[in-house]
Amino acid sequence: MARTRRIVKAATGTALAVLLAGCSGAGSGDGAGKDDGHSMAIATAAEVPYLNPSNDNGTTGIQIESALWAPLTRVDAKTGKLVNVVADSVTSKDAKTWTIKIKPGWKFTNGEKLTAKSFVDTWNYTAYAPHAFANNGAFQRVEGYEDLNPAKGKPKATTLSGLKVVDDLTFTVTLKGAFSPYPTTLSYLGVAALSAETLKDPDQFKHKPIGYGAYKLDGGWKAGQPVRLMRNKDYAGKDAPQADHITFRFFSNPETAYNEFLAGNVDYVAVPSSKIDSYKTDAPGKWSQAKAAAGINYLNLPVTLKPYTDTRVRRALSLALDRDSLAKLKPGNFPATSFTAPSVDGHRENTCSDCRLDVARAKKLLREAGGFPGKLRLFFASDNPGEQVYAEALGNMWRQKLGLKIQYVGKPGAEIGPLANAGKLDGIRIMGWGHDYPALEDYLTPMFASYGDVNTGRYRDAKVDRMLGEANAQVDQAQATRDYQAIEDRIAEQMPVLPLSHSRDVYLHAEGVEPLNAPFANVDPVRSTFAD
Amino acid sequence: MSDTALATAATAAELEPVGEDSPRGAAVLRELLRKPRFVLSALAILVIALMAAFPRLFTATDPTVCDLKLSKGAPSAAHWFGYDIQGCDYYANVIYGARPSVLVSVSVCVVGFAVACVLGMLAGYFPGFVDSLVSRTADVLFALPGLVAMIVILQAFSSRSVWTIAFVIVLLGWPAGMRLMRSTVLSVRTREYVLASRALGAGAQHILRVHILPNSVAPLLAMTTLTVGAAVGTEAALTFLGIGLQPPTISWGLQIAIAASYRDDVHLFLFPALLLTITVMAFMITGDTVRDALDPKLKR
Amino acid sequence: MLRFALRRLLIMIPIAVIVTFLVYAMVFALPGDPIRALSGQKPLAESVIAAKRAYYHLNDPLFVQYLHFMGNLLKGDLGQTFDGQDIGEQLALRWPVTLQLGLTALAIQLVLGLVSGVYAGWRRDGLVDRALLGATLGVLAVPGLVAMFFAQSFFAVELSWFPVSGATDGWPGSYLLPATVLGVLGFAGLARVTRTSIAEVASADFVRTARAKGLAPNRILWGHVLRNAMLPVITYIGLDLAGILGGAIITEGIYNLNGIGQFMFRSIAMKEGGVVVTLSTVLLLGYMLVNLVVDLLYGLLDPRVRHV
Repeated sequence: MARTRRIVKAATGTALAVLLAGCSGAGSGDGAGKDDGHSMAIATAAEVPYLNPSNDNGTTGIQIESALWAPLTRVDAKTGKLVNVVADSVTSKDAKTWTIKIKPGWKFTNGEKLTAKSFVDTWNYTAYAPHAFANNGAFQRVEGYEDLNPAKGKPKATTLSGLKVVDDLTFTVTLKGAFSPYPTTLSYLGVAALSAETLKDPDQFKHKPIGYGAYKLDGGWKAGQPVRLMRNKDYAGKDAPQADHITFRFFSNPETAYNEFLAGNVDYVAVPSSKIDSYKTDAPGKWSQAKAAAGINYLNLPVTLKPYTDTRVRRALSLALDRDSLAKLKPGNFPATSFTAPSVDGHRENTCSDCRLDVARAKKLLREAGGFPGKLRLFFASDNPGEQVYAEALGNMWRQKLGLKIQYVGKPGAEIGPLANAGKLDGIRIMGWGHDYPALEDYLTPMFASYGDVNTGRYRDAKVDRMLGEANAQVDQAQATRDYQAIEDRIAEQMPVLPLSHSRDVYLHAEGVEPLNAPFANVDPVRSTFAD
Repeated sequence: MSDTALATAATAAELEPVGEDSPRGAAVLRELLRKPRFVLSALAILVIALMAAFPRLFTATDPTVCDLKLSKGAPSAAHWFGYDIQGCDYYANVIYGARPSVLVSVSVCVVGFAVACVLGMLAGYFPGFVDSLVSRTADVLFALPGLVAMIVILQAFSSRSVWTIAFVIVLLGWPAGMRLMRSTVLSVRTREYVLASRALGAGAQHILRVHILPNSVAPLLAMTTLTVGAAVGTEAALTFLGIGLQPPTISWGLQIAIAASYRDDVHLFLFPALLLTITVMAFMITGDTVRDALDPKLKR
Repeated sequence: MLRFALRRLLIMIPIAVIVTFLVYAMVFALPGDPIRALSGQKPLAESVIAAKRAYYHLNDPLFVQYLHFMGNLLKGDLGQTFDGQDIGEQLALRWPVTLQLGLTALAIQLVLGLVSGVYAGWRRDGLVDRALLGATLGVLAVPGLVAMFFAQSFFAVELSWFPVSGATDGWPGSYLLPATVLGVLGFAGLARVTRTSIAEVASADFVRTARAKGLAPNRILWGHVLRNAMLPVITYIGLDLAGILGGAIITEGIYNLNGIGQFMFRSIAMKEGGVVVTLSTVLLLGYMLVNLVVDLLYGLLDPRVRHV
């Protein structure tokens, strides 16, 4: 059932992919080696074991792969509207059968032409369960997915019946049901194409990626070593970034990268939580805050268990939280007032009327509901000091403002996830969600549909499911947005989750390097502009 | 070697049993009380013990009254240690943090010392089967990845307390102390006074207690007093693995571990670390002076 | 002596086999699902999870999994991690880093610990002894994490004496700072044990006799005391050597060195039984060898210690 998703961990720094960009001699030739031009090093938080967008759903890997490949569509960073990259057009009359035309002239770095067949073959390969590719789930809306991914037994087919090659540059995708945001989902890099050579034996190409992006590998690469990229002269896109050479360096500790920045070896770094009080003095005039907040941090409630079944209890818990103070625990956080992220088209502020501090009202609601019997169990990832601090802050508020008894349940993060997926959490869990593709739908479905990927509180509302189906089938985009907003309004009345905050990364950047920072895209160091 | 000859000369004097009866005990105490170093460190232990037992003697403030708006507030006249990240009075929290930390570290020290001491003596004094059994068991325990072992063992406890944590630390920690004890026992067991005593028909128990123990315990003791601090560190590390003490428990280990991630606010780290250091110092100096006072060879 | 060593070497084989199973079982008993944890909190499709579980034999009972692993191990195939890295290749890349870090740190620790310990024990309450007490308390008071970051920001960022992180400068440049911090943090234990052992021997009667005979103090220290005090000291060094990996975990993370410590830590989090067992077994063998050498050294240093 699960579709591949990017989940942002709430309120803490460590799990977020911390992107740090460095500039080893920006432009002016000092230390840039033999080449003229701009070269920079982008450092990332986690090591990547291999480079393959079809088999990678990690933020870090996708970040690097997005330089080596190119997406079919992209959300324009400044306007928030969808634009085509590899795709020439993505059209449908009924939101169910989609025709994708790709632009001519694109080539893989091994010389192969990028064709409609490249996409269809890659998607079939990825969707075939025995290949166990990470982005298998990206195709679960396509007709025939179940034949390749049966609940039990061997797959009945090796190709998706919903995919058809029409001609060299055109193919059609038939979905199981109408789904109007489909073109937006094509901005996910997990649906990029692999070369025919790679598909013959992907294991041989784990460390030798063959893409069609603005960059290609510069020399060899082994897992654990930095990834060096150089400009791909054959890149057919119009949106190539300014940098000529990019090196991705891996730092397992974000503070180490921060120190590398201060030493002048790196000139773009995200500020880790622990530096919240000092980054402004450490790097005066060199810090900025992301304009986009592409996610939401919230509390997941087990709404099928007493006393969480009572909406009044859920609202009381929400009204007792001082979100302003909570947000100050992490750099760049600000309080949430609705259920979606500010950086998606159609987002509205203040849809959550209970996302404010009103202790008197909270007490009244709780009294009406008959109080909170027993202990409130609060789950947190104990291996993450930031999350423990956050959990204690929440617990203190409920304990002191509503008189609740709190039981903290700290477990390693690796243990909480499976427990939650199995529906075994009998308490409140701190969570975060960041969209895979910027659409209201990508918040409403995963968080609130009865079949939602991260709806681990088991919230079920038949009407929400039905409304989602209707909005998905709406071909008129403006009307679809209004439909999604109506769903959010219904959810706000029930408060199945408690929105807490949105995160905007704070980052440091050296003079002369200006990373892309726009309201509808996360800060992107690959797309930096250079002062000279 | 001339060492051997010299040692033989010393044998006769050391054949006398030492450290037995109360008159000597009183004398030792009187001697200790004359040393300002001992008095100070013993006083420090007393204060820390009082703090652990009766935190209310030191503060009237409730450590659980917190206001997030005051988060990380700096020390002031009214709040000596400032506020912690949750906006709770830090002085009260550091005082209340003494109990679990002191309980874990002292019990780890005492029990760990006893286990290492006894097993080390056995392994060192009885070569062959006993030594092999103890030493190879120690090898296996020592080679287990501690992290994994602690998680697996602590998972088995339905509720975790200071005692279960101390138990696991001792269970996995004794091999180091045992090796050290064994090494000194090995060198002492063939000393002439031991051989002489054995020749006179003394039993193994008597020899171990009277001759081996006092003459071989010093390095282990030195190592043990150092572990007072290490145990608090381990206690904190376990918390972050999700298998240690958890909030709302207050402990120095937790405070130091959290403060290590918020190093911009020095006071968060300074105060619990200071108290922990005083505790370690007190145990170390008390240990040293008591050993010196008890050591028959130092009598001049 | 030879028979003693041989017997000890032989017994290592059954013990190593027991440990591989013990560790494998323990990793098996760790909570969490490695496949679900594979991409943090990002759910994978159920069909993919099923396929991966089958590939890694995760649905089999513990003993079958263990036999699979041991079978491949005997064939020289260490297998792959759950995220698709070749374990053998990673180990080959990572051992040198940890060894260079650990041995450099150990060397620094030995020099500091032995020199300060010997002098502190020989002249108790003297200057070195008091300085050692102060240094010990300082080292104990500051958590490793704090000390490492402080050293990084001060010596590497402020003063630029060392690279901030990474191993690109090779040995010694890249290893000097982390190894020094590691060595300084770890020397206190060795120094205290050395000090106590020296003090103990220094007050023994044969030393007093030697003094009374008018032997030069230096000759007494180096000729008689040191030798007699070395047993606990070399034992402690042996323990230290075995503990290198433990100390390396945090250091490698902060100084961004791709060593075994980081690999081990991640493997434990991911329940990579194969990696943890391989590393533990290598450690066990190393540890037992070190212990054997230490035990043999006992006999050389102190002829009264005989091996039967």
